Parts: sequence; structure tokens; C-alpha cells
Amino acid sequence: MIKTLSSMRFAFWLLLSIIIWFFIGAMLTINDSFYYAIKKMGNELILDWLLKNSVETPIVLGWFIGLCIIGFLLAISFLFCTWNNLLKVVRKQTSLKSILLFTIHVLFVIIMTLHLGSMLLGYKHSDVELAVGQEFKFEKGFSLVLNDVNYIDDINVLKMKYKEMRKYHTRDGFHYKDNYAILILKQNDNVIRSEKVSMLSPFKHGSLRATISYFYLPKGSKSDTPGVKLVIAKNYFNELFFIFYALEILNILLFLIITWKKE
Amino acid sequence: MSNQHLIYIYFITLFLIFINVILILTKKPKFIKYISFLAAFSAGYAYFGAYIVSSHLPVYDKFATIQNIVFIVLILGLIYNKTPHKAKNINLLWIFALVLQLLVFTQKMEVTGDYYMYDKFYVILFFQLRITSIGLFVFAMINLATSLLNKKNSQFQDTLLHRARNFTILGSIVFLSGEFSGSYWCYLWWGDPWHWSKGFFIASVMFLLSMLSSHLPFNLANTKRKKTIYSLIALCLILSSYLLPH
Repeated sequence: MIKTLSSMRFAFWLLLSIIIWFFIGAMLTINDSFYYAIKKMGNELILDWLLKNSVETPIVLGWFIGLCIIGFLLAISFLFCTWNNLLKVVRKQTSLKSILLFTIHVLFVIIMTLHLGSMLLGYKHSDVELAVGQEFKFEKGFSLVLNDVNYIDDINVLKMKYKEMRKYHTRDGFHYKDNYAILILKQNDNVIRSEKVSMLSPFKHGSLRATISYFYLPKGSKSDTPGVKLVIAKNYFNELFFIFYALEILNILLFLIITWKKE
Repeated sequence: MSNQHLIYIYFITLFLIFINVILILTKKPKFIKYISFLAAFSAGYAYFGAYIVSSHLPVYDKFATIQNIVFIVLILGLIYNKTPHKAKNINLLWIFALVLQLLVFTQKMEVTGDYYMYDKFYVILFFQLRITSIGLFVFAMINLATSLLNKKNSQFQDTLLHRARNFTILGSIVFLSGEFSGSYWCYLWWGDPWHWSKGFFIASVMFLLSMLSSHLPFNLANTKRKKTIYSLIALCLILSSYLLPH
């Protein structure tokens, strides 16, 4: 049994299965209703999606459960193969090559665990629409208030549909550094901090981040001041994810360098 | 320089590649070397021309990106295919380059417009590293295909297979580095390093396919030929995934 679980054969078929499964996922997005269902998965923490909204689209839920099963089996294969094969090689003939091959697999398991952690812990609120003066309350008594917006470009562009709007968001048509919002973070009505936030320059407070997805014109508003659409997320693992991701790349690179050999 | 100029340059590169294919098929290697330099120069000119016209390096439009891939393949060809007249060569490279360059015909002959996010280094890096990785995967494919045609020379076959293995891993590293940049972009825009989307699924498929050839079980790929064919299929699928519109 252990031999089977740590075999290359088992790893290969699982690898092939997950490739096919992701391909099916990509094919599902061609259909509009599945596209929005999959988009919804990313709009909140996957655990929240599973508990609240997943039953609305059973096919997407089925696909996700299938992915979890393959992922779980792949994790078992990784662990057994790393423990039974790669570690044995390291012990028998310690070389830089065998150590690197071992660490590549260990790092991959860590990265996948961080992925899993970010799907289960923390919180995420997407498409939070805030007009100037409005407040959004979320976990642990926190709230975000949109204090002010500075928007110097043509607001008529904001009346367009997203895809159409993108055509006008050129370097000259959208000055992302000059268009900004001032957000105030409060906890139990006590101001914690205030920050100027623009596109690709989020609000940060510990592992809490608020990013502007885009500016929009609030419906029914007589004012010309746009509001902002925000993603508010608390994720404990993002920094670690980037660190281990970079380490993995460096590890594979080092492995390639020492095994390149002269032709 | 305008988009029209880019179309002219495209045809010049296509013509030069076509000439080299003819010279190889008719076994007249005398001018191949010179035309190789000219073709690589023309493809390089198209690459920088795309930058001048659109104010950014090629991102996702297939008109500029396929030519970018051809440029990478031709540069690698100049490094590794120095002796087209000898037995040890990878002349198949020119046929691959021709097919890729012809594929541009099926696309809209226009470079991507300006977009404010292309100002950011990590955004351009995401696209550029992905394109580069595809160029490296194509080069690995060329080596695998050449090794299939060189059954008699076992030593040369081994060299080609080892080179294909190296370029597949290098392609994976470059691809992962691109995804790293893309994750950072996503993190700043959508608050998470990744999100469920078609782009994420396709990227996962491409990376996992690049890993497939180094995880072939012995009972399935028990001969050199089988291993080569399976690796070639995996790389073909990566290229197809990239070329599919998404």
C-alpha cells in the first residue's frame, strides 16, 4: 500500500487527473452562468462560499469537491513520495541534487498548505460599493469609511460598461496616481488610521487589506463625485505564500543549474 | 512607426524564415547562416517595433506575442544551430518558426492598445515571462521532435533529450516567475494572490503539463521513444493552451 502511494505511477495519474480537472474548470467558465458561479467562489472566502452559496450551483460545487478529492490524494502522494523515496535518497547518498529535489517537493507541499489555509481562515468581502461618507462594517467591530474621493479624469467614462470603460483607461485617459480615495479604518467607532488609497496601492493594516477594484458612479447620485468598489480581505498567509513561492523558484533554478551539465 | 510598419516587418520575417525552410529542404546550406541572422534581426525589430507602437512590450495580443516567441526561438537557434550543413543540427527549428509565424495570419494584425496598468513593471513582467517561457517550451519541443527523427545517432539523440529536459525545466521556472509577478499584481488589485478564474485554471494546466514529463512512470515510458513522445504531447498541449483565446 505504502509502495503504491509513494509510486511515480500514482503521482503521474493524479497529476494527469488534476490537469483534466482544471481543464474542465476552464471549459465551465465558457458558459455564462458557470462563469458567474466560479467568479462568486473568488468573491469570498471559500469556506464561506461552501457554507452559504455553493448549493446554488451544484455542478460547480461538484467540480470543486472533485478538485478537493484529487488535491487531497495528490497531497498524500507528495508526502509519501517525499518521505519514502526522496528522503531515502538524501540519507543514502547525500548530494546537493538529492537535497534540492527533496526541498522542491517539501516547499510545494508548504505552498499548497498555505493555499488551503488562505481558503479557510480570515475573511473576504468583494464588490463593496462605497460612496463618499458611507461606511462598511465587517468582522470584529471593524468598519471602513470612505472619507473623500479625488477623481481628475472624465467621469462619463465611468457610466460605461466595464469592458467598454477599459478602452478609455489608457495612460492619458486614467491617471491612476492622481485618482484616489481617502479611507478611514475604525474599530468599535474608534478611528484607527486613515490612508490615501489608489488603484494598485491598497490600504494596509496588519494582514487586513482594502484594494480598489475600480471607481464607479453611485446610482441616483446627483453629485459628480465617484465612489469606489472595494475588496476587503484579511489573509494571514499571503506574505508567507510569496516568500515560499520565491524560495521554490530559486530552488528549482539551483536544481537546474547543477544538473544542466555540459553537452 | 505605425501598426502598418509592424505588418511589413512581419512579412519580411516570414519571407526570411520561408527562404531558410526552402534552403534546408533543398539541402543548400550555404546561405542559411546569413539568412538566420537576418530573420532573427527582423523578428527582434518586430519585438522592439511593437514596443514603440504600443508604448509597452508585447502583452497578450497574438500578433505581437507569437512574433515574440519566434524571436526567442530564432535567438536560441543562432546559439544551438550553428552548423546547419552538418548532421548534428536542429533544422526542424525553421519549420516550427514558419508554422508559428504563419499562425499570426489567423489573428488580428494589431498590437494591444495602451492601458494604464502597463506602466507597472510587474504587469509587463507577468506577460513577458509567460511569453518567454512559451518560447523555451517551443525550443524544447523542437529538440524532442529532432531526436525522434535522429534514430541512428544515439549520442546526438541523448544530447537533444537532455537539452529538451533542460529547456522544459527552464521554461517552467520562467513560467512560475511570471505567475509570481501576476500573483503580486492580483494581490494589489483584487486583495488575493490568485482567484478562481479561467486564467487561473489555464495557468495551472500549463504549469502542471510542464511537470508531467519529469513524472513519467517507467511502466508507461519504458523506452526513450515513448518518453519523447509523451513529453512532446505535453509541450504541444502547453502551446495549444497558450494559443487558445482566453
